[in-house]
Formats: sequence, structure tokens, C-alpha cells
Amino acid sequence: MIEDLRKLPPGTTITADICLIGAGAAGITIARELAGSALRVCMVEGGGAQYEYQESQQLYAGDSVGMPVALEAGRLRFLGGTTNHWGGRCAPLDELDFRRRDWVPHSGWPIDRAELDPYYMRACQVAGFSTPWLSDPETLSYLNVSLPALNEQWLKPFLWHFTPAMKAAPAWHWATAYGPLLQESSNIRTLLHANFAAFATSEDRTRIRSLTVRTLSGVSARINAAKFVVCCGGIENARLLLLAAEANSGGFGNNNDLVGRFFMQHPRGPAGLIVSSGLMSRTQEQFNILLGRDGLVVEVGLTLTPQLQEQERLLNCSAVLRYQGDPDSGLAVAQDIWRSLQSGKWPPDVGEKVGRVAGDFGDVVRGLKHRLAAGHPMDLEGSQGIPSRSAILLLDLEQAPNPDSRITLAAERDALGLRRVQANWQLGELERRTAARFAGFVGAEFARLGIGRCRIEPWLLDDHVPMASALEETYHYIGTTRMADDPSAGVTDRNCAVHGMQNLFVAGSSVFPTAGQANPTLTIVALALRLADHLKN
Amino acid sequence: MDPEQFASMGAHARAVTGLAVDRRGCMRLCIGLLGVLWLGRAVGGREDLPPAGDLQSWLQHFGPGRLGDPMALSRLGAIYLASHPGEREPQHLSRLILSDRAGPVELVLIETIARDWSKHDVAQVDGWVLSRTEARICAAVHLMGGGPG
Repeated sequence: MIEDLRKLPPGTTITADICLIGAGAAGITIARELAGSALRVCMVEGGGAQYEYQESQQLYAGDSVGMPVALEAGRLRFLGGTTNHWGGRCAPLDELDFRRRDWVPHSGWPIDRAELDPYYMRACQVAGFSTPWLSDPETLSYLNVSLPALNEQWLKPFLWHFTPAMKAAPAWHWATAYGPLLQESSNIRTLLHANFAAFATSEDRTRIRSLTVRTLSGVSARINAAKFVVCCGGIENARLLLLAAEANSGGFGNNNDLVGRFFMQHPRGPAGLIVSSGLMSRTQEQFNILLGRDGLVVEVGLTLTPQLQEQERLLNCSAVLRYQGDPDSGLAVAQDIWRSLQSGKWPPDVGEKVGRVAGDFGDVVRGLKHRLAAGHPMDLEGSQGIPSRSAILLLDLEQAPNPDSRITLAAERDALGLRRVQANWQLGELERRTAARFAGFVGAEFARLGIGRCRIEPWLLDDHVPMASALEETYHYIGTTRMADDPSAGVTDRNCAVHGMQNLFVAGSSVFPTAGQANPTLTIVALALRLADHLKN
Repeated sequence: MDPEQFASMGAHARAVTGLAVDRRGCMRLCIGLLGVLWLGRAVGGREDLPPAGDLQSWLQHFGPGRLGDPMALSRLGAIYLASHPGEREPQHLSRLILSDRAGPVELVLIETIARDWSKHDVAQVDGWVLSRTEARICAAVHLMGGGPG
């Protein structure tokens, strides 16, 4: 059942076997797994069922003192969490991402990719995919796409799968998908507007006895549970542990001052401009968002091979092409005509324009078909489906773990009296070198294959150009409660249990020791499924 | 690949992206080099092509017309030479480009550029990813006085 703490009697006490703190992708996935079991589960969510700024979202405000982090815009504080503005891009991490790489300080997971593989399979179902993923070659074959023969020692194609769209949403949203299950479940009690206030612990501070939650209007409740799971997102997970450690004079995984450190994202930005002698129609049919029958949507991009990462001592990295539609193409001209007619005006130079559309008729039909199939109306601004002569090589970078890139508590307090968060997001030169080398290899391969010529962006050529001028955040908050077998190297163990605590667990991307280049949601869900199995057992 | 198709590339690229003039220069180089490849394939084996080892005379007779704007090429060449001062001597540069390979210049260039790509022997000149040989051809144009340094 889903309840609102504002409507419960003050001082309510709830007893549960498991208390989930946060109802985003991780929390709801665990709840879904435990639904129908004999376990009594209480899931608390600080926000309501919908977006509310004053009532909830503004609690996410904080300071950003390094690379800019949009603390309020990047996260959503209501049922479903940040999946409510998720684009639905899914990909697993690579095998190499889990390994210790001697050229990447603090790299290495305590588990390997094979350990997660069965959970990735299940995660696909939880994320709304109705059929198991085909391998990348099988997917391309199914889509009838043949890619150019890249030098497989250096570069490989990479496919992102997009979740199915939902009613009134472009991607799979956890609250929409699983809200009815939460509402109907007899063993899952979901409490909205229930903000974290404090933990009460055993005397030795190794065991949590209860959690106090509170509304902004002052209604509070206590949850007594055998196990607690913090699943509030990559920033808030660290904040809660830091607040708890502060209130309890230590503990909560922070005995080695690691909570909040190693804060990472996937920095995104342009690495170069690809310019072609003619229209890039063929390339646009290969490296793009491709639509198949049965609702299959994938984006084909490029990534560094593991061999090259090792050989050149680079991080992981990927890129997609963002085409810059040619304004002289028949489709762009047809759009001009359409917009003019829509606004009741006769387009200027109409004879010449019609001639251009007629002369480019094949491309117009092809582009229009692609555009409409992708759900873009004819008059929408943008280059989707428009033949292009140039494209931006848009990077997603792995970030090297850096203890100085961190989340801490700010001095200012929020409306609940809790210290706000301070983000100090930092990037290093390994990120820049990886991006520069990757762009160089893509540029050379594209030249060799006759796709186009690449001009690398200035920030990759001059170490003095601030990376903040080119890179922006992706709202993928990673690493702040990293997983490690050795308590001196991490906050959580391989089972996502907080070191030094008997009954506290963390779910979400904050446990990733390294970020890879893939979007984190599928891995968050896979790890949540694994944790759910652990909790059940 | 049709060289005429390449001839319009710079203008289109500018129209689409607002590229700066130096981009046009590089695109002309690319046009020229690809034109060379096309011509080389088309006329490969003809006996009246200058033999390898005579790069400068080839550039003087054919280069400017086939490779595009000498000023733009020279500018890229100057940038390349600034970071590779050891290649400033024309004869040495010519040997680096052609090695001791026998055959007509165009065909040697085709093979050398293809080999550059396969070995990832590339140079980044003003941001453009060029094969080493492409960059050296720009440098040779510069040393021949193709434009201001």
C-alpha cells in the first residue's frame, strides 16, 4: 500500500523486516523483488507521488564548488526518483570496467562482470524490455545494418538499448511501471513525504535500531527494522551516511573518511567535428538511433577496445555522432516550406525551393520516414533525419576515481534542520588524455574509411583550456560509497553492506568503484536485484 | 571518388558549420589528396608520371593545382614544422615522404598514406587529424614558399 506520512497520526511506529530509504530505481526494484514474500517491507520516500518543489525538491539544494553540479536539477525527489526524467538508455558495463587496471588508481571491483551477468538479464526485464537482448552483431543483423570495417584492435561499435516508452513518458519510469504493484502489495508499505531525520543505533553504533522520518510540517514516524537499505541516489546516499556519522560521532562506514569521496560522473562533451565531402547519408544509417520492428530502439556509437585502453593506458570512453542537418538539403527546404504554409504564408522563392525538394526527392522521403518513425513531427526544429555533411563527435567519458572529488556536508541547513550537501566534482588529466587519444583514433579511422575528416576540439589540444569549458555533467552520480573487500579501501563490501555496520546496506551507483562509460541505470538495477536476493536469503 | 565532389566540400562545410578559413584550407588539402588518390588510381602506371624521389618537381608542376590552396596548405605545413623542426630540410623531408620507394609519385603517396592509417601514424595539425604523409606534404608546400609562415 502507498500512504502519505502527512496523513498518519503523529508518532506512528512501524515495524518491518526491511526498511528501504528512497523509492527510485534501486529502492523500487528491491521492493518489487520482495513483494509477495513473507518479509515485511517499509519503503520511505521523501517526496510525494508527483514533483513538488516547495514540499520536497528544494531539499536537494546545495553548494557546488568544483566542476558545476546541478544538485537540484540533476535529481528528482519523488516516487520513482530520477527515473522520472530518465532517457531510457541502457548498456551493461564492460568486463574490463570491473578489473583492477594498474594505470587507473583505485580501480577494481570486488566482483567481476560474470557475477553480474545473470542480474543484467533480470535487470532488462525490470527495465521494461519484453525480450532478451540480442548480441550486438545479432542486433545489427536484425536491423539490417552493416557497419564500416573499423580496425578492431582500436575501436569497436557500441550499442545502447532504449527502454520501451510508456504512456506520457519517453522511457521506462519505475513509479509508473510499478506504482500499482506497490499500491496493491500486502507486504510492502510505501510511505510518501517521509524524509530521513535520524537513525537510532545500538550502544556500540554497529547496529541500527530504528529510523525516524519526518514531514516538512513536523509529522514524524519511527520505523523499527532488522535491516536498512539506503537507496537515495549517488549524492544523497553519501549525505545520509555523513549525517548519521556526524550525529553518532562516527561509524556508518566513515571510519576511514571515505564516505563521499571518489565522486564521479560521465563527463560529456564534444571531442571533434567530422566533416564530409558529401552528404553523410550512409553514415547516418549506421551511426545513429536506429528503429527496428517490435519497438526495438538502439543507438550505435563507438568505443575504445579493451586492448587499446590497456596498451595506451586509457580510461573507457564512447562517442555518438550528432549530425548537423544540411540547411540546403531537400528535407530541410521541405521543412521551411511546411512551416511557412502552416503559418499561412507563401514561402519566398517557392519555385526554387520546390525544385530543390524535387531534386532531392529520394533523401526527402527517406529522411521524412525516419523522422516520423522516431516521433518527430515534420515542422520540429532539429537535424533528426536531415541529411548532413558534418557531425559532432559527442563523448561520454569514464572518470578516474579521485579521492579529492567528493561530496561533503555544507554548513547551511535545509528546512528539516539537516546540513545540505556540498559537491566538489573534479576531473583529471587522464580524462583529457583519453578523450584526445580516442578522438585521434576515430579521426584516423573515419579518414581511412572515407567517412569524413575530423578536427579535434581545442580543449583536447591544450592542457590549459579548462575542461569545464567543454564538458558537462550527465547526472550520473557515482562512487561515493564505493564497494571494496578491504574496509580501508571502501565504504561497502561486495554485498553492498556498510563496513562496520551489522544491518545497513547501500543500493545505487554510489557503490560503483569505477564508472565505465555506460549509463549506470542498468547496473544499478542489476546490483539492486543482487542485493534483494542477498536480503531474502 | 569524384574530385569535383570534393571541390564543393569546403563551401558546404562552412555553410553548415560556420567553419573558419583554416578549416577550408584543410578541407582543400583533403580534397587535393583524395583527388591525387583518384588520379593516381585512374592513371596508375603511366610512364610520364614523375618518378619517386622527385617530390619537389612534382609539387611544383602538379601540387598546387591538385592539392588546392597553397596558402592554406602552407599554413598547415608551417604549423606542422613548428612542432617538428627536424623535418625542415627539404631533401630530408622529401625522403621522409617518399622513402626509397620506386614508382610514380602519386602511387607512392597513395601507398604511404594508406600505410600511415593502418599504423596509426597520424599528426594533429591545427586540430585536423592528418596522416603523417599528408602533414609532411603540407610542410613541403610551405618549404617551397607556398605561403607565409
